[in-house]
Amino acid sequence: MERYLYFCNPNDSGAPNASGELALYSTNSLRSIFALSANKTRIAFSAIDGTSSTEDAVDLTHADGDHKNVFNSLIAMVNAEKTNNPFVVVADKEHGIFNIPGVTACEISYNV
Amino acid sequence: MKTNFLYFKERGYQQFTYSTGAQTFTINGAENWDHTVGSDTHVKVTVTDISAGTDYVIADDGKSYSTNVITIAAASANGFDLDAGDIVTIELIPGAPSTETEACFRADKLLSVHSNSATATEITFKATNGTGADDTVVLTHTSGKFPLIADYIAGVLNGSMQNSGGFTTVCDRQAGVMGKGLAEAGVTKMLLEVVQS
Repeated sequence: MERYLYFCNPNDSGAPNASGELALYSTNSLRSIFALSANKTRIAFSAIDGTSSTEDAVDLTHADGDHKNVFNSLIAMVNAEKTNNPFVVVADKEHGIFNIPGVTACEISYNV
Repeated sequence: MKTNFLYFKERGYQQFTYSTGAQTFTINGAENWDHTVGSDTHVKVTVTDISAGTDYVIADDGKSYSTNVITIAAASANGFDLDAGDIVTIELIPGAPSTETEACFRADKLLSVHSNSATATEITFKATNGTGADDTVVLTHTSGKFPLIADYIAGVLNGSMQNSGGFTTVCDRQAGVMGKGLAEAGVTKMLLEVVQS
């Protein structure tokens, strides 16, 4: 079963209504996960515009040095250990839901 | 079907106990650092004040770097006035150098495991940015251990060593954790690179 990772980061208090505020990626399009900075983990996906020479990115903010725990939790979600629902909410700022312990924010950057 | 990921983390951490004299600390030794630090902004410097029992993170303008030496300025210059017994912790900031230090790669994106020399094995993955250049992990190890590493990776790819979540620590140099049996390779250094746009 194909699974999809949901990210939502509205810039204001309302629902997502602008570019870069919401994204749903197939787990098949996930390319790599790596430490971007002391308190950020980047998830790289195949670009949504279909180009093969660039990538989309979702950056998760968390405590300093907590990358490995975030990697581990995210991969558990990719493999849907705790649910068979193909729709997997990773970070939903609109509703205050962050399903990886310690993650407090997300930023979405994609190519369109 | 489970998607397996392989985890790698470079080593970049050293602690010192201050005694007296200059507030200088030599880093980049092979036993503690995989990546060669080239700037004070690449590391986080924390002083554990033993008398107060508190940690203090030195601001960028309170520390400096020159030829493998980190210097903590005086408190009057945004640094810290060390007392004997204070502990100074210097650690690499992920993403601060031009290369990455910690990453998970998809097992199904692995392209090759090949030897660069008798003591260096390179593991390559399809590039994160999708171009021809690969994401890479280079292990420096005891001479002649390429077959052991290749055999280990082959085992991981076939799922024989996965935990239930699909997350496998292949080489966490910081924590001293290696994949099962991989410690015999005698890895002394690991450098990874994620090719981004």
